[in-house]
Amino acid sequence: MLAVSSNRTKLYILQMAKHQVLPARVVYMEIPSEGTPESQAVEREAKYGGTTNDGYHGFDLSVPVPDLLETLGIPFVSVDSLDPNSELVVNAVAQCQQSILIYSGPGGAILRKQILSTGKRFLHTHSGVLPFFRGSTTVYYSLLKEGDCGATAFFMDKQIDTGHLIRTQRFPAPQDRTTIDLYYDPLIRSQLLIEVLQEYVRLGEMPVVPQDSLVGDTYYIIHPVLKHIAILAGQMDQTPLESGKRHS
Amino acid sequence: MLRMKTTSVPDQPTLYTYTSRNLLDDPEYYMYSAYSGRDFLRQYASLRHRVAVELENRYIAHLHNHPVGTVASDIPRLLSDWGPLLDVVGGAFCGEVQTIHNAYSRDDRLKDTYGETPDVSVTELDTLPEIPTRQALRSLLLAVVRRDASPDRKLKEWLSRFLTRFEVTKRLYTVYTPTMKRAGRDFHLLTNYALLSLSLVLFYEQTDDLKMLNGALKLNDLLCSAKENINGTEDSFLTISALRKEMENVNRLTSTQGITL
Repeated sequence: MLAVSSNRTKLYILQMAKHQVLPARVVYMEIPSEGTPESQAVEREAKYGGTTNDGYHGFDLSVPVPDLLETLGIPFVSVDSLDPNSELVVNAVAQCQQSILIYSGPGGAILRKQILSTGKRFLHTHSGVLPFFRGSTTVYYSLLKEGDCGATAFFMDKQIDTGHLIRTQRFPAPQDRTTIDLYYDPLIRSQLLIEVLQEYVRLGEMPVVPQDSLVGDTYYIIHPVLKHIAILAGQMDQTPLESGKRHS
Repeated sequence: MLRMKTTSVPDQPTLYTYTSRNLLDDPEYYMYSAYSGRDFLRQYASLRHRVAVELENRYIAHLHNHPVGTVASDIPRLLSDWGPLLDVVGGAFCGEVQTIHNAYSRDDRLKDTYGETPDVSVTELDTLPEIPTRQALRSLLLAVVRRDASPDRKLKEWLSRFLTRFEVTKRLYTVYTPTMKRAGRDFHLLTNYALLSLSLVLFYEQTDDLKMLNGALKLNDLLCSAKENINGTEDSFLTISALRKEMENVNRLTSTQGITL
C-alpha cells in the first residue's frame, strides 16, 4: 500500500483489518511539519463539533496512521515526501516485493512515468462511476446529476481515472451529506476495496476491462455553490429559513 | 436623462469569502470547501447581485457620457460585434440599458460605423500556429450563441481546453501554442475571463453540462474579485451578462433540486 495520512487511509486499513485482508507492507508518505488540505479540513471539522473523534460506522478515525499500522503489526516504511513521483517514494515502492499496491495517496496526484516504470500496479478506488465521472469531487456531481453515488476500482495509469477497470459499485446518497468529503467518500471507497480484495483472494487474479477514453467526462474540484446545492438537495426539511435562524 | 440605479446593499457577507481577495494575484483552489448551510447561498446571491448592479451603474454612466453619434462611443462597435449575443443576454440587463441598446441598434447614423471584426471559426482553431485567446474565445462564444451544431464536438472540445487551462493554472494567458501551453506571459486581460465564463454558462444552459457551470462560477469569482479593474464597455457588458446568466442558471438548478432559499 502507498498511503498518506487521511481518513481514506485509515478506513482502508481498518476495513482490511476487519475483513482479514491486510496489506503486506505500507509505504507511508508524510512530512510531519506539513499539513494537507484534508488535515486542515479535519481540524476545522473537529473545531466546529464534527465527528472526527466519535467514530464513523464503528471505525475510530482518531488514531494516527503509524500507530494504527503498529497496532495491527503491518510493516511500514516512512518516506519524507507527499509526492508519489518523488525519487524517495519511487525508490521505496521499487523495493516492495509485492506487485500490486493499494493507492491511498494525496488527492489529485497523477502518477508519472518514474513510478509507473517500477513495474508495480496501483489499485485505486475512485468515488465515481467510471468513465462517466472522472476527476475530482465526483460524489457531488453524481448526486446532482443522478441522485446517487458510485465507486470504481481500477489500475492507475498516467492519466486521470482512465486505467483498466476492475469493478464498479453504486451506493445510495448518504443521509448526512455534510460530511461527504471526510467520511462518506472514504467509506464507499473502502467498501468497494474490500469487495475487490476478497475476490482477489478467492480467484488469485483481478480481471480488468479497458475504458473507452472517448466516453465520459473529467470534472474539476466542485465550486462551493454547487457543493451546497448538492448537500441541501438531500435535506428533508425544505421550508424556507430566515437568515440567521436555525431549525430547533 | 439617465439615472444611476441605487440599491441598498447588505453588510459585507462573511460566509462567501471567495471574492474577498484578488484571485488573479492569489488564486483560490476550492479544496475541501466548508459547508455553511442556506445562508451561504443567500450571501452568494446577494454578493453577485451587488457586483452586477455596481458594474451596470458604471456601464450606464459610460453610455450617458458617450452618447450616440460621438466619436468616443464604442457602443455601436460593441453592438455590431455582439448582435447575436445581445439577443440571448439582452434581457439580463435592467430596463434602462435595454432601452438604450434598442435605440442604438435602430439608429441609422451608426450603420456606417459598424465594422467587421475578423473572426477565426471554431474549425479553424486547430490549424493555427498559435491560439490568440481573445479571438478564439470570441469565436467560441458566438458559436455557443448561434448553437452552431456543425462543429458541436469541436465546440465542447475547445471550451474544455480553455477550461482545463484555467482550472490547472487559474489563469488565462493571452496566447497559447496549439497544444495549449502558454505562449506569452500576460494573463491580466479580464476580457478573456469574461468571454470564457459567458461561453461556459450559456453552453451549460443548453446542455446541462455541470462541468461548464462549475467553471463559470470560478471565473465569475475571479471577475468579482477584480471588479475594480472592469472599466471598459465590452468588459462590463460581458461580465454583467456572465454574472446574471450564472445567477439565472444557479436559480434554475436549485429549483430542480427542490431547494428553497
